[in-house]
Amino acid sequence: MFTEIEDINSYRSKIAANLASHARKKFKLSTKAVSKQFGMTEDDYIKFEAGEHILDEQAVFDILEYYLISREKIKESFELSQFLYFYDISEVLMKDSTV
Amino acid sequence: MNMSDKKRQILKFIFKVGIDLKTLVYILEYDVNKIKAWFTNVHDNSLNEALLKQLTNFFKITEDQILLEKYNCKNLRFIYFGKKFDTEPPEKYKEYSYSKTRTSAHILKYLSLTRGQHFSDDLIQSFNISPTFFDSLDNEINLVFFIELLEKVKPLISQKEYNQLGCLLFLGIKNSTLGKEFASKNNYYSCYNTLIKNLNLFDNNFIYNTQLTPEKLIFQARLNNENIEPLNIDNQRLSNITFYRKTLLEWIPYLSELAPLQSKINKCITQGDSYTEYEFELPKAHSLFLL
Repeated sequence: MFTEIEDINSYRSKIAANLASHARKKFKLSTKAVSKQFGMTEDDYIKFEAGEHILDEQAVFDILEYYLISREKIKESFELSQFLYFYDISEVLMKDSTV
Repeated sequence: MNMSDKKRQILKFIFKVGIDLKTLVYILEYDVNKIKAWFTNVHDNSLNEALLKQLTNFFKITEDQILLEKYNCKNLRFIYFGKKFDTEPPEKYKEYSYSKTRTSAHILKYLSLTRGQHFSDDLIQSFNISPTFFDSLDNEINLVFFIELLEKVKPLISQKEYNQLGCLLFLGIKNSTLGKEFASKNNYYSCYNTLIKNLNLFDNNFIYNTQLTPEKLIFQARLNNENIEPLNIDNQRLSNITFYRKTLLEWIPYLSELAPLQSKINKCITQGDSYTEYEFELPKAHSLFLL
């Protein structure tokens, strides 16, 4: 059962992807332009925003700071991702306990 | 500070405070396309100086405060949104206000942490309410707002996220006095007892009857007709609240670092019963600590 649970890094990366996607649209920037900034291929960047390409913590920090999101806010978002990660685990545990 | 660093700091200021394009056009008195070009072209620094000047005038702060990030964002948001909105919500959401903002602040916080501050600000502004209204958890608003908030949020997020909104109460109250009181409890009985003692800090739209023992919690919510009837809320529109409250109650123990519980609904106002009843089996104290 636990092997099906994604690890905390992927939760963190996905929450950052969501934030990045909304910020990029707000700034009206193209995926082509921003992927260059991060030294990524456009395809990888698109996959990152879609939550299919998981980045490590530092890369995620760099991207969100590029979008002018403060470190304080990023930290809060990461804390939330930790909660969501444990939420999924709890959900699995609860289902298990009812079997 | 070079021009691009300056621009970065100005942009940061604009986004942190939550200033929209329309306001920038108003305070700069420039053509909207010129401002859009400045926004989207990294190398366009043509508006830096003019913007700095106008922003300092508008907010009564110095250029250095903007460039060195020495400003109180909360105060500036208050000034900014204060110029756009009344301090009170529109009549539609103000009459029969028996919900505290404590019941919805965490939803807005969740949206800002997962989609950015502007997303949450835009949503609240669509109600013609200032986002800063939710800075205080003790402000009052009516149940219509809360129902419409859930209805508006639903298509904007995934079903899974929607279902878990009730779990996120901690995002709004963690650092408050009430949050700290919850955090000081170390078993289910005292945790839920804290909730029961403080129900009036959430809302008075419902009359709550509770039976709490170390083994069980029965939680009943009956519409407070005196407070609610004038709003003419359809029973079906209350179904979102019934489910939301279920999740919220199940996750109250999380505020005391205890694992959430499952509950069952024995009666429901949306099924024609006169009240909704949630039942919880409480595990033994200390048995299910999180982490």
